[in-house]
Formats: sequence, structure tokens, C-alpha cells
Amino acid sequence: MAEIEIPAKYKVEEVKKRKEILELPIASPGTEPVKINLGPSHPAMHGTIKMIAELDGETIVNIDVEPGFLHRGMEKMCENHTYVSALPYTDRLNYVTAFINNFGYIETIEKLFGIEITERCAWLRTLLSELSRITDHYTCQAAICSEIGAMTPFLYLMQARDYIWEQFNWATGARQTYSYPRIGGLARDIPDGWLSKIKEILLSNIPLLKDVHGLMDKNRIFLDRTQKVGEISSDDAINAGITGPFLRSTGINYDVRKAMPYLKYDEVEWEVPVGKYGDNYDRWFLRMREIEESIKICLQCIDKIPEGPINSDDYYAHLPEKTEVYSSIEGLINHFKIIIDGPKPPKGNIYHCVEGANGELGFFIVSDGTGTAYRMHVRAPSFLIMGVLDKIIIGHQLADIIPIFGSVNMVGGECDR
Amino acid sequence: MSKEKIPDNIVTTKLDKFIGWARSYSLWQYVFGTACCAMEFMSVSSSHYDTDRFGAAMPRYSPRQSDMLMVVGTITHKNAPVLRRVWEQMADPKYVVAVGACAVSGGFYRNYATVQGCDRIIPVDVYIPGCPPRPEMILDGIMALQEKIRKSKQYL
Amino acid sequence: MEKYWMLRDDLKDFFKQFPNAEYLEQFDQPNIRIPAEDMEKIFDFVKNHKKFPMDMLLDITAVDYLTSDYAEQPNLTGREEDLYSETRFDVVYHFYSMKTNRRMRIITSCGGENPEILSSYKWWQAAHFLEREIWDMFGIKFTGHPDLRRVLLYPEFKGFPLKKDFPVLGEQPRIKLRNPEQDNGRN
Repeated sequence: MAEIEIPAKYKVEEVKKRKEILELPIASPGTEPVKINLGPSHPAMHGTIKMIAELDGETIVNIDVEPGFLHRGMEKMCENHTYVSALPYTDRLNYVTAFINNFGYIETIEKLFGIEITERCAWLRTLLSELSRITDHYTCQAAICSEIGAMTPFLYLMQARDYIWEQFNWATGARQTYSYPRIGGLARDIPDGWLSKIKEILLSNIPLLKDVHGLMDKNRIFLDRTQKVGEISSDDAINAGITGPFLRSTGINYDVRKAMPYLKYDEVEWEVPVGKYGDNYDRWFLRMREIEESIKICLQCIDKIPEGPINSDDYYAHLPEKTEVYSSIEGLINHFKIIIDGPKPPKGNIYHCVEGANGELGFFIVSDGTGTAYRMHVRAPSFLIMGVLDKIIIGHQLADIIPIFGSVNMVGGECDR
Repeated sequence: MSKEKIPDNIVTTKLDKFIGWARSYSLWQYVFGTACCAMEFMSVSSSHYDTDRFGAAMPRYSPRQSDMLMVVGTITHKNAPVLRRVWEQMADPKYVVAVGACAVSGGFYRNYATVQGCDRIIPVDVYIPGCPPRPEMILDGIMALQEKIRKSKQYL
Repeated sequence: MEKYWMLRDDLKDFFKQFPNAEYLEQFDQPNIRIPAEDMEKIFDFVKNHKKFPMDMLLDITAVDYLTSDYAEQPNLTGREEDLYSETRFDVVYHFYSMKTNRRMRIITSCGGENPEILSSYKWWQAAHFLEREIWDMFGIKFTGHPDLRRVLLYPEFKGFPLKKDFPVLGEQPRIKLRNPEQDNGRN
């Protein structure tokens, strides 16, 4: 088929240049751009983003991204709850990786108190964080595939995710939002036989990933829809405050787990995958590589978990054993004070961050000496990507919004809190 | 009165029951998914716990073509007019299922931004509690809706 | 965590050039408090520093000190005149330097009847949505921001939710809510 000559004024570079000079929507002479609303209730908008796009033919000349349809007032609620009872609100931030949010919040509070966690607890937290990251990447890849039109990888990956969620149900009691850690440790220990079951599941996921690679990687349709689409340069990404897979796909090697090692990430061997062009295909491939690296970390953790106690001994912040509560008066008063008033840290500001599935998830707590936080702020990674999304999309065509938005992995609970 | 037996390949029934049977096994759903329960819904509609065996497999992403609205997730005040408009665009007979604690009664978000239950905006037929509900509970809710449809009077 | 933050020894030239800045270390993390007039010069200095250029703005947030007798702030007890105190809000910036893996926290304060502060959009584009969120939640205006409007709430919402004098249950519905106990009539 002969190459169709695209008139110069419709090429992506020309459109972007003219927009900067004129600050006007670009339209063919005698016409006006059409406004289309990709509304908040849309299967590919993950349910909570409204975009108003102005189109000239099929090319987007202007777009306005409006998040906030899932703003549930989490930060205000945390100012009226004690440190421990605000834990379920952090579950529902990035609801697919509830463990990472939970552990990040609890680690910030443990820094306030200066508590050291035990070895077994640290290894278990590492294992559970990485399993959570695997399930999040499964969800993201499945969503991208089903929105582009490929239903088979969606069903494969959902089935794989379900196996892992059933194991979480066995260990913690819930499939999705766990509230598993407590200050200084975990709520309860994992059951016997859990580790060997997880190992079985992880080993059976490796051929599944090969299947998904075989279906999508060299597929002509997939390549046309994702290569050279949604590019961003590394300088723009750093200036916009983006972290996580979005930044690593542009070539910058920044991962909080390597830059500021927390838990046991410096005692396992793993690498950080880094992309080259910053387009959708790089982000897809990067997430697949990250799943493989996470499986590597999990298998190493399973071999290295020591026996021992789960909870630390600091009784300022976490509840005493039930036998002590019922038999001694100090245990009873300790339990009562922590439940009613909340654990009381010293005054001050603190910021601590962990590597969430979308980037750096940070918790900023201002403590005023009482059992409730005076101010709790969550630094949400996908919120910052929303800020720069309009500059990425302008110049592309209408159908390109779907893969670009899918590869951002915007999770409503985290973006809007 | 004829004394001939009715042959075995003819079934007699009431019109209401027949139409109720047909409507309950061909529910086309519109998933108004917002929050964590939508992840659980993705699990329900894939191969482990299948909604296809109940006839509720085809999510139609247009309100004009669907007859069951599933409100999955938290409804905020910013999103309330959207939900109302989607419900008004659906044609009768339409059924509404509220999935999850946030859609049933606002969940544990008792503050300035959350609607305390989607039944403050639209009338609801079946409530499924849980945070998030297990997939078996969602299937149980769909079965309860099917029974409700079969027992009710069908208007043509 | 301590060796990833810029502590007093690393910031000798900063404190030499800006002697009005105060330094307080809490939980092994620095809190550098600067007066609002110096903000433009300090942002220029911090972004283009030779040894530790802070090229990423991680986070901007604000704290409302209306009801606490927090040790550094004046004793604000929720009286009418405290609502317009000059140091009611604290705006907190977190920076990160990609080359040298160091972090920094800078705090300014603002207040008054219409709190205003300089926007950092010129230096870091990350401020686009972050400052819109602070305007939405606290009512602090950022001068120089290209497009300051509400981002997490709807335009008809009156008031700023995260201020301490806004009630938690201050609901403002957008459409008329129905009574769920009425008959299941279709309306």
C-alpha cells in the first residue's frame, strides 16, 4: 500500500510548535475544534477520570484532565482517628497493593517511636510487599490488554492474580484490603505450609508470563498502538516529579528500594530494569521485567526467613499479649491507654517513603504529642503524573489516549485520596 | 373438556413467569465501577468465579443497552450527578445492585465528600455488603436479584 | 535514613548566604524554615546549586496550626482573631537531588485574611497539580500559577475542607438527595 503523504501542518512536531507560539487551538481554516467528553464513567478511564478533549479531525489539540471523582477525604479522617485506627484508610490508597501502603505508613510511625522490628518481621514484610507488587503489575497489564482489545491475556493474568489473592486470604483474612501490620510487628504470624504454597505458585507463574510475552510482544497491532506513543523525555519527567516505572522507562535509574534501602532489599540480589525511549511499549516491557525481578526477590526471601518472634518488645506503641492483659494490672492499663488514647510519639515532622507500584509513595506526619496525628499527608505518585498527562497526549490521536492512560496505571484511591 | 393428554413437548405456564425466567437469565450489566470493589468485580467476571454461567456476562458499556446497573465502589458528591444521569438514561425494566459497603451506606467514610449510600440517589434492588465482598457473595447477590425478577410482576 | 538528608554541615554555604533561615533537626531529618520574602532567591539557589542541585520537587503540602500549642508556633487557641493570624499556615516543600541522592525539606509560613505565596511552577512543573490541591484544600493562593482552580472537589463547593475550622461532616450535595426509606417508586 502506498505511503499516504500527511500534510505538514498535521504532523505532531508542527502541532506542538504552533501551540506553543500561538497559545490557540489549532484548527483547519474555517472550522472549530470539536469538544469530546471522555466521562468519568468509562470502562477505560478506570472509572474516575474525566477528560475533555478538543479534536481537530482525529488529532487532539487540547485536553483537560480532571481527577477527583474519588476524593474520599482520607486526610481529614486521619486527623480524627488514632494512629492505629487510621490504618484501614491507608489500605484503600492504592487498593491493589494494600501491603505496600500499609507497611509504608507503619514504618513512618515506627520511625517516630524509634522502634526496631524483628528479623522475621522484616523478611515477611519484604516478601509480602513484593507479592503485592506482582499483583499490581498483573492488574495493570491485564487492564491495558483488555482496553486495547486483547481479552486472552486479561483472563490469564486475572487467574494468576486470583491464586495469589487466595493465599493472602489464608494468611490475613481478606483478599484485598488487609490492615495486616501493627506498630512494631504484624497482627498474626503466617500459617504453616504457607511459604511452600507461595513458592509453588510463583514457580508456576513463570511459564504463564512466557505465554503473555508470546501473545503480545511481537504482535503487529500491539506494536503499532504502543511504540512511539506517549513519549516523554527524562528531563521533563524529572521536572514534573514523576517517579516509578514511568521515570525508569525514560532511562533514569531511580528506585527507592535501591536509593534508600529499607526492610531487607539490600540483602537480596536483584536488578532495576530501565527503559530507553519512554513510550508505552517501554513501560509495558518494564513492568513485565519488574514482575520477573519481584519473583526473584520472593524466592530468595522464602529461603531466608528465620524463625523467631514477630512483634518487637516495645510496649509504648503496640498492644501487650492477651494473657498479660487479663492477668496483670499493668497489661490492662497499657492495653486500655493504647486503644483509647492512641500511642503517643514525640512532637515533630517526619517524612518517609517507600517504593509503591507507581512510584515513590511518601507519608508526611506532623505529630503534636497526642495519640492522633495533627496532619497526615500522602504523597501520591499517580497524582503528579496526572499533572503532566495533558502535555503527553497533545498531538496524538483520540484512540491513543487509551493505551497512554492505561500505562500510567492510575489508581483512583491513590490519585484522589 | 377433552380427555386427551398434553404431549410431553408442550409446557404450560403463566406469561409473567415466562417473561421473568427470560429476563432473569439474560441480565446485561452496566458496571459503574469506581473503587476497590471494582478490582473484586474484575475477579468475579473472569475464569475463577464466572458470571457467564448466570447469563450476566456481557458488560454493555452503554446505559441504553443494559438493564442492570451495578454500583461498585464509593460514590462521592462529585460523582453523584453522573450516576443519576446514567440511571435515568437506562430503559425500563432496570434493576440496581449496590456492591460493597461504600455503595450500600457510605462505608467508613463519614465526611464531607462521600454520599452515604447510593440509595440516596437512585432506588436500589439488592444490597451486597462487604469491604470488599467476596466473589461468592457477589454471585449470591446476583442470584437473589434473579429470584426477585422471577417473582415480580412483569410489565410489557 | 539519616545519610540521605541534607544536614547542617552540608548546607554551610546555604546558611551563609541566607542568614535568616532557621534549622531544626527532628527525628534525624532537617527542617529549614525560611521567610517568605526570600523564596525566589532560595529556589534559584537550590535548583542550580553546583554540588547538590535539587532537580525534583517531590511534594508540597500545608499544615494549619489553628488549634495546637505546638512548641514552635504561637499559642493559637481557636479564637476569632487567630483565624487571621500571620503564621497560621505552614507550607512544606520536599526536594530531591537525583545526582547525589539527597533530600531536603523547606518550610515557610503564610496567613492573614487572604493567604498568598509565590508559586514554584517556573522552576518545577510538578507544582502544577500540587498547588492546585493546596488551593482546593486550604485556600492558599499561589501567585504566578497558570491555572489555579479546584482539582479534587467540584467548583460549587464552598469552603476549604482541610482547615481546622471546617467540620468533618460539612456535606454540600450537588444534586437533590432522595429519602431511601420511601416506597420503591421509580423516582
